[in-house]
Amino acid sequence: MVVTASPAYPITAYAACSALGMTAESVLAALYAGRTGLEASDFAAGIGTALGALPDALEPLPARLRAFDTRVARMAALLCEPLQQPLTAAVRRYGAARVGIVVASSTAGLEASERAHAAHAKAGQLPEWYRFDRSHAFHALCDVLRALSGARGPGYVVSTACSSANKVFGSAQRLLSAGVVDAVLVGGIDTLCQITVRGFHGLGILSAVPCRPFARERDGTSIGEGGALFLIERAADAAVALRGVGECCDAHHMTQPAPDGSGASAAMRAALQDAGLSASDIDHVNAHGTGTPLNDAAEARAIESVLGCDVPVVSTKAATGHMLGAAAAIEAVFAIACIERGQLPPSLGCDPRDPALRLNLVTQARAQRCRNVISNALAFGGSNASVIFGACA
Amino acid sequence: MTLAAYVLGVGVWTPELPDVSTWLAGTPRPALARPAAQLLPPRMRGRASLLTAMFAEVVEQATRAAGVEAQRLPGVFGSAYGEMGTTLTLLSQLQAAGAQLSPAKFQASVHNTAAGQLSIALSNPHFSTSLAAGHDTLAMCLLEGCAFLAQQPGQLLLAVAEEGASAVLQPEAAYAPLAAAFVLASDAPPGAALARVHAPEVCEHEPRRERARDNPLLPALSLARAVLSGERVDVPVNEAGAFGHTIHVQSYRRSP
Repeated sequence: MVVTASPAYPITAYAACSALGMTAESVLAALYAGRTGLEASDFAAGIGTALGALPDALEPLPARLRAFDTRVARMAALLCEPLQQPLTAAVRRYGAARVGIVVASSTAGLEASERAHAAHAKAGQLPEWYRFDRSHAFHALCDVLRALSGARGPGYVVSTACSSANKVFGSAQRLLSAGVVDAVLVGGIDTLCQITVRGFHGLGILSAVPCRPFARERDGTSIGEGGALFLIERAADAAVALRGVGECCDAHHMTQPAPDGSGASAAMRAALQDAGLSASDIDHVNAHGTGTPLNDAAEARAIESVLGCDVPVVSTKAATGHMLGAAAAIEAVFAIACIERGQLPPSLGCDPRDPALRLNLVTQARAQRCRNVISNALAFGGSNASVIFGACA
Repeated sequence: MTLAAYVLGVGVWTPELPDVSTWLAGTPRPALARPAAQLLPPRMRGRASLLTAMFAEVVEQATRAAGVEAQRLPGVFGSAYGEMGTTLTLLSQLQAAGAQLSPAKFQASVHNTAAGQLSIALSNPHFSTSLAAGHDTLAMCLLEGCAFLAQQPGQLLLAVAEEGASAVLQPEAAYAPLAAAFVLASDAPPGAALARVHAPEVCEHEPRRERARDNPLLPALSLARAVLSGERVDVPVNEAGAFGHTIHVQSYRRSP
């Protein structure tokens, strides 16, 4: 069978928030300045870990959406606001039914259910504000984004744990290629939750200090929150396009990667094939790089086997924390920024490096022309997804 | 481009109607707490949540009916709310002194638990995804599946499942668990397919208020029935919402 490359779909707008800032501009300024958003937090009381919480309070939703007013929905509104103009233009240009929504989340409204469940345990009833379908459910995110954007096309949530926000690009590509939509609002949003923070602690893979991906002394990851949204269109002027997506499964273990990195390798190779590119076309890797000993070792082997040892590699988890279902969304912003700016961010905390990992890690922000950047996401359940972003001109 | 797929096999499980023939006959058996889920190895089966066991059961039924090997298929898995039983256990553990969470429960609480466990059990490295869209979940899974097959022709597994409503978090709802699976194909030799299903079309229908309290995957049973009806049928999806979808089905043979 002759496999042809997927079309490149331009990314015409994006927005981001994380522990580094409440806007894409502030997030990127902090990233390139080498700052971290990770710090000790009362949210992780009794655990002893650094978390990446949003630096500022979130505004309540407008009155018409008050029934959906949870932390994750407020993040969705924060991210939607700077995209309002391009979204309105897309709805006008293509028609509302031709603009889809595919958003990633691992937690959705779990944080709200934690508070509601605690209230129920105390008082025997749920709080007045809690409605399962609007406060907890995945599709509430779509409902909020639909209301804020005016998009009326297909809408769904992809939830494959930490690969979710790379897989939304695969879904968007499929919907565009099949002619179902002409534009897609994609991205990922996750909030800090007690269950995720304490769950990772229970698995023994949280670092007591800000995580140090690929470092010799790395001892676990750090959890963060936030998200990013992107508008992808069938055809438009843009600096960067979605070039290729590769998705596969490890079929190895629920929480540990295949030690030889075979799943991550397969995802990267599939993304290259989908983009019609070869390994030498990739100028930079935004690694999944969680800071856990097993993940980083397996991913380093995968990068070496597919792309070699010279390609510059960065993990940005030490800056933002691991944003789980939204991790690949913020990292897509970083990949796009590398192409737009011709500059690589630093991989914080990686020195002294693990000598067993043969990677060209970037320790200081530096200028480098990037035509194509690959971003990896590897998840619970052995779900792997790699996405390639490329310069349009 | 017409987005559509052939259906090669169907699987259905509810506590009282645990396979296609029983379900079509409509004679309930004593309710089962869990399906057999033979596709999972015994150790994994014993630990699996109800949701994951239901997925395993209908995947096994559908692939057996289609005469295909489950380990060769990419998969689209759908559930409106996901691993709620496991999540409720974790929520209760949060309330206990020390808030110690079970690592086994935590790793099995993600939405893609069933997809992950099945890929491990079957050594299946192919594409899989796990989606949620409330009462539109079936429609969006079918859309994703048809779009996947348009891009990568072949066969694909579409499986949806939902546990029963949570008494604590959904006091307004009361519905039983259910699951269904469909082996889809981009092409099929004459006589091999049960039906041809079209990707869902958006339609506006008057929302039925009581539908919001139903199992959001209930339309999957309507789709299974349409596939096996021997007739041309339009299946409405998301009658709980302001607008929903219709799935056009051309069934080729009536199941006995």
